[in-house]
Parts: sequence; C-alpha cells; structure tokens
Amino acid sequence: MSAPLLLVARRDFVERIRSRAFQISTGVALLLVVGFIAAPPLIARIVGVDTTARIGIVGEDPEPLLDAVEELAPPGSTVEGERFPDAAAARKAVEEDEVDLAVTDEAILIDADTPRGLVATVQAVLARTRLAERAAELGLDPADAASLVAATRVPVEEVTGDDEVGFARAGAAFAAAVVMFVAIVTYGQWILVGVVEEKANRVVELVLGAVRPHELLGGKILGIGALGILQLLLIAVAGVVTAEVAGAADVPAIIASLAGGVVVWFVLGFGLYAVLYAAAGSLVSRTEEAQNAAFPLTMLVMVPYIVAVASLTGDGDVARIVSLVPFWAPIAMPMRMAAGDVAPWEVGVAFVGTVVTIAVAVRVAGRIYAANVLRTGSKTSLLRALRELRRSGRVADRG
Amino acid sequence: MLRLADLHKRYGDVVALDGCAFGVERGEIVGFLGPNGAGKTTTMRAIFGLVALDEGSVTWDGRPIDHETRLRFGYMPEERGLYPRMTVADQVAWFGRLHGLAPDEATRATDEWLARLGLGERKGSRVEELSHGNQQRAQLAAALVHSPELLVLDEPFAGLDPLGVENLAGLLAERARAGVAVLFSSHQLDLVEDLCERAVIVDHGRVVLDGPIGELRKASRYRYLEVEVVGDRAWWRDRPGVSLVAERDGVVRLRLDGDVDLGELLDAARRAGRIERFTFEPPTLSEVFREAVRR
Repeated sequence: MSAPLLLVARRDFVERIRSRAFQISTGVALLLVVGFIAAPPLIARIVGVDTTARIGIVGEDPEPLLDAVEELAPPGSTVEGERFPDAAAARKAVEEDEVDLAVTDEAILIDADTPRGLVATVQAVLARTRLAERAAELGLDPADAASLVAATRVPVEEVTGDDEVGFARAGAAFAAAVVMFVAIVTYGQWILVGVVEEKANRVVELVLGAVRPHELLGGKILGIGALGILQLLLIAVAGVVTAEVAGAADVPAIIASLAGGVVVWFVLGFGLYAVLYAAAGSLVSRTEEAQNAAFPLTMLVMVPYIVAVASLTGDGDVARIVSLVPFWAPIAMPMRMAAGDVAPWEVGVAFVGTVVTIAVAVRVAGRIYAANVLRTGSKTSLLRALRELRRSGRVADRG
Repeated sequence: MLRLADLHKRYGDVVALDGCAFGVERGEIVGFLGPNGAGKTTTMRAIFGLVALDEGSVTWDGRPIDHETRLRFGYMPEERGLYPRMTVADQVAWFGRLHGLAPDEATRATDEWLARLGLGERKGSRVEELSHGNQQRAQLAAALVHSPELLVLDEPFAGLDPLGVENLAGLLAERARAGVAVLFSSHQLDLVEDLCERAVIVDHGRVVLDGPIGELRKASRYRYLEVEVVGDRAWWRDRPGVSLVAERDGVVRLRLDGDVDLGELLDAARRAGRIERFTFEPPTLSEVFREAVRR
C-alpha cells in the first residue's frame, strides 16, 4: 500500500472519529444494543419473575415433601418450604402470595397465579406418599409396597428438539442479515457523503494534484472501512459484556456463531458496495443530490435483506438463489451460514463470484470515479458515465 | 523549466485548448492572462494531469511530468477548497505529507508558513471558522508548505484586500528569487505589470502574446496619446486611425494606428485651442491585453 493511500485513509479515519456525528451515532447504537440486551433480564428481575417454587405445609416438617418435589420437578427448579400452624394461616399465605401453594390435611391450596405444573408435581408427590401409607395399612410387605410406589415413577428426559435449535439459528441468521445490511448501507453512505463532500468543497482538485484517483478512492474505503469495523467491534463487545453482566446467556453464543462469517463477508460486501457508492458519489456535485445517485444501490442491497426477512417464514429456495448472486451474497450467505443449511460448494461459489465481481467493480467503478470526480456542475447520469467510459477507453490515468 | 507544447483539449463541441504553448523558467514570475473561458484553468489543470489532453505535452526540465515530479509542484486551483472541519495546521501538514514531507518536516514547515502568512494564531481553528481572506491564506499555505520548485496559482489575488495583495506579491517575488518558477493567472493587469517581467496572454485556447512586458508594450501596433486642449474638445473626431479610449477632466486618451502622423495631429490640436498636455506613450499592459483579445 502506498504512503498517500495510507495518509488518505488515516485522514478519513481520524477526522470522522473526531466528528460529533460519529460520536453521537456510535453512542446511540451502543445504548440501543446495551438496552436491547439488558432490558429483558432486568425487567424480569424488577417485576419479580422468579423460578423458585414456594410451598407451605401445615403442621408437618416440610423437608421430605420438598425433597420429593425437587426430585420430580424439571431440572434446574428450586423449591422453598414454609411451615404454618394451621390451615387458616396457610390459606392466608396463599392469598397474599407469600407462597405459591400450600398443603393442608384436606387439600392443596392454590390461587390463580400458582403454576399448574407445580400443582401437578405436588399432587403426584402426595399421591405417592398416600399410596405408600395405604399399602402399609392394607398389610403389604414393605418391599412390595416400595415396588408399588416405585412403579409410579416414570423417568423424565428433556429432549432438545430440532425446532428449538432451528429457532435459535433462525434468530442468529436474521441477526446476521440485519447486521450486514445495516453495516453495508451505513458505511456505504459514509463513502458516498465523503466523496460528494470532497467535490462540493472543491478540495478534491487540490488533493488530486498530489494523489492519484485510485489512491484517494482506496484510501477513503480503507479508512472508513476500518472505522466501520471498529464501530461494529465496539458494539459487539458492548453487547457481549452486557449479556454476561445481565445474564442474557444466549447472546454470546449467537455472536460467536456469527463472528467468523460476518467479518469475512463484511469485508467483501463493504468492499463491493464501497466502490459502487464512491462511483455514485462522483457523478454528483452537491450533497443534496447524493441520495438520488445512491438510490439504485440502496435498492440493490435491499433485495437480500427483504429475502432474509421473508425466509424466516421458510422459503429456502429463494434465499438459496439470492445467496449465490454476487451483489447479494454478502448479506444472504452469512445469513444462510448462520442458519446452518448451506453446502460448502455454495459458499465457495458465492465467495468466488463476489471476489470476481469486486475485481470488475473496482475497475469499472474506479474509472467512473476517476473520470467524474473532478467534474462539477449538473449531475452526470450513470448511463452517460458508462458510455463515455466505453468511448474513451482510457481516462485521466496519470503516470 | 516548465514547458507546455501544443496543448489540445476539446470538451464535446467546446474547444478549450487549441495549440496552447509556452514555458516558465526557474526564478521567473509569469503572469498568465486571458479573458474568461480562454483556457487558463484548463492549461493549469493540465500541468497537474487533471485534464486528459487530446494532444500535446507538458514537461519539466525536458522530461514528461510523472507523479513524483508533480509532488514537487505547488498548486492553488481556481476552485478554492479545503476540508472545512479540519484545523488549519492539521490540513496544511497533511498536504505537506501528501507531497512527501516526513511528519516532523511537515509540522515545522506548516508552523513556518502559517506564521509567514499571518495565520500563526489561527492554526488550531477549523477552516470553516476562518474569514474568506484567511481561508485564502490557508489555501496558499497548502500550496507552499512543501517548498515547491514550481508554483501554479490560479487567480491567487482574487478576494484579497490591498494588504493581502502586497503581502502575496512580496512572497511570490521572494520565491522567484529563491529559484522557484511561478505561473499565476490574474485579471488584475496593473498588478501583473508590477510583479512580472513576462506575460502570456491566451485567447480561444491559443497563446496570442508571450514576452517580456516592456517588449509587448513596445511591439504594439498602436500608440497612445494623452492630450488636454482648452478650446474645441472634439478636435480629434473624424481623423482616420484615431479612436477614443477614455476622457476625464478634459484629458482625452486616444489610441492611434501605427501610421498616424504625429505632426499632423499636433497641428490639428493646436488649431483647436491651447494645449495643456500632449503625452505620447506605448500602451499599458491592459491596453495590450485588450488589443490582443479583441474579438
């Protein structure tokens, strides 16, 4: 890499990181991500949703019952017990939600909030106890009685179904598509605005007196791309740290499952769209026209994003085709990779196709940029720019 | 030296350059004149490779100008512009770096030039916070920071107050004494006459006059006569080869074709009344200019 290219890259990086707009947008993005991740566990804690079952018992020592309930309940549940002198006190405790459920001699007391699963578990435990008592009364041999009770035990096995894995993966895939889309569009816009501002400020002529057009373009893409990756990393780190602190456990897993693919595809996707946005920016002279010039590009990058949203409902063929098309692969392929239903050859095809497209785009868009970046006045249409490119065969390509 | 040979450039139907050719020696200040649209800016851009020429060559010391050579040139484009949100010092130093200065050299040269241009106290300001005149100075600093061997300045005096003009004129003269080749365009012809030994006048993309200003004035096919006659003021009318340039406070400035007989003219003036003034002189540069680009 040449020194001028690095000087350009550093200027774009440093000036943008110092800009109020960058600082505010990064701050807002951080707040949103932190808030989005931290809010659910925090709310749960504040509102007091907890998974501990509280059981009241009249008279007896609650421990045997609690042990039995804990044994029967799903793994990870915790049970607390409280002893009440009489049924009236137990009833009052249930009414006032001090306990979820209370066991008296006559009945199991519950209210509307009592988890139904807990009721069934307590019922089963009591049924077993009563069965054992009754068997003893009927004079059954203790060993027979024990086997009678043991026969009621049905092992419980937790099965992680494909559905749940699929759901987590779909979430990760969707997140990948959103991150890629937002990153490409946002940083593409930075390139666009950077190119147009240099034209609008007229500083570009002075810069091009000392720097070749491809160095200016390459430096700008490198500087802004590096800043984009830095911002993404900052947000990702903030997200992981928040998830750890707040106890939203599955976020790091999702990010880890995305990380590798997203970084590679971000570099490819950003590289491709950055040169295209730069070429679009070079066709206009005023900042107000920039968005019009970039409109076709924004449409182009929208396609895989829409497909990503739609494919959550299961249309795999469309997503598969879109993920193989060079302009769309950088968004659709990491999404499919995160979803996990992608063959290696497909990744290879998308990768090679995108790299080839970048090589072509750098040549064509780079020449459009070089030919138009000094032109001021009215907007140049893309068709005209391409026609001129074909006619001239060479542009201000300097020694 | 800088040499431009046979430059041709056409934009669609518009001919911007049509065989433009001239040179600038080291240590020389050349005033580059021409009406708007004559091709001055296109010529200057061509020196920096910012225009793809249809034909012709630009050389420095006899060699085509490559990228490395160009880094030893300083440029002030017609379209002024710096990065508005960068500070003056950062910006000038950045341009110094782009032209190949090491970081500490760039900082030192930036301080030096900003001080010389009277911007020392504004070096930490953003360019957008500067007045118009100070932005112009910052622009100059960006062109000078790397001590170029060739300075190409497109309308450097436009927008400067009289003090700024004097300051810049002194600075260009000093650079030329230091061996720098200076080419600048201007519409302020008095200034060019004071500052330059040589002028190049272009029109329609071609050089129409090129030479030391004194010789250009002498070589004019016209002579100028300032006459004040108390009496008939219209005495000069209807005389062949005589036309009015200006009339003020009873003094008329007349342009005479080369073949007008001065004796006859003096006789005619005498007949018209008492002669208070009768000065005969070669044209000023601005008159030379107007003759050269007469449409």
